[in-house]
Amino acid sequence: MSARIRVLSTTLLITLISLQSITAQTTTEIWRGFAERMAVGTELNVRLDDGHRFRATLVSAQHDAVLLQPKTRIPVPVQAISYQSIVAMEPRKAGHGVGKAVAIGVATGVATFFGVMALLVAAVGD
Amino acid sequence: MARFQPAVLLVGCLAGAVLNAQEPGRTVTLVPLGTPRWDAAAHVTWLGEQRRLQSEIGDRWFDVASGGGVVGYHWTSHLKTELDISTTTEGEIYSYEAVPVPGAPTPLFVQRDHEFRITTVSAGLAGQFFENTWFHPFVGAGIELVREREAIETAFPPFSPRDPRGISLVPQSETELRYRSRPYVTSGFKAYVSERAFIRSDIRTSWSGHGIAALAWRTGVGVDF
Repeated sequence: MSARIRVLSTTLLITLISLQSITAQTTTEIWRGFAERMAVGTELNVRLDDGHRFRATLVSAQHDAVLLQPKTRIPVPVQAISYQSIVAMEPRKAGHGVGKAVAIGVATGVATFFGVMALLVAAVGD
Repeated sequence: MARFQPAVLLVGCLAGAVLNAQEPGRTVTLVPLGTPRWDAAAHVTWLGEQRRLQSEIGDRWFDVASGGGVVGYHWTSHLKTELDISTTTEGEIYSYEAVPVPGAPTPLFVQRDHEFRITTVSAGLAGQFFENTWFHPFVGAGIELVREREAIETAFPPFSPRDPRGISLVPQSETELRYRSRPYVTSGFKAYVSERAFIRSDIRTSWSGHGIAALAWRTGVGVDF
């Protein structure tokens, strides 16, 4: 009876480890293949399995990791991200930034106008 | 040996998981070492204050311009403490009060001019969203200490010399100084124009036992250091 339990538990462990390994291997190969086909300098949207989402520039595709330069306000070093931790990675669409810039400009202008008007009203009201 | 086989496999599996977790490159670091922990901003404000006058039923609002400064210290990239000091221009409310006059059939209508100047010192916690980006929304809450100076000018209506009440009154003035504390909540954003300089705007509401006591829209510029 105990020998049967040992065999069963061993088989179960081996199966689980194998499945994990196969899944990791597949994920790694998919993202490595994707990164290798991307041109260096491509801007990417990246999502990791720990919940981090960020924009980055592709620097290099290595065997076990992709080198990314995150697009941040204060520059951070180039970072090696393992393929296994990548949940999603896609190139950013061109032209997206122009619309956003226009929207920010309009919003800032409107907010400034109403801000100045409100201050004038408050000051004159005194 | 066979009886230890599952245990050995289990240990191997756990060790593998630990090694996997320690493998570099599993996550990304978006905040560089040496990131400034302090920020400071100067702001101008449109402030609406609500007052309940003794002589009237209901609340009255008045609006004033205000200016001040805020200093913040980041405990983490998402949590910071803020200290703010602001002072206003003079805000004004007029009230009318019917004062009964002994022996007279009609009351005396008195006009009072209430002039307020408000200075606040506040401390609070703010939660800032995103890491090392050009735009950071934030929410916050805290306590503000309010110093309020109220100057009251009382003006009496002119009387005809033939008025049977025969009252002669001169205008009166008095000043009251009050201190109190009240909680506030705020929500706004920091939009960076360079690595360390930013425009900041937020809406802040302060609360008293009667509900909203003040509403402020603040806009300013600041810097991380």
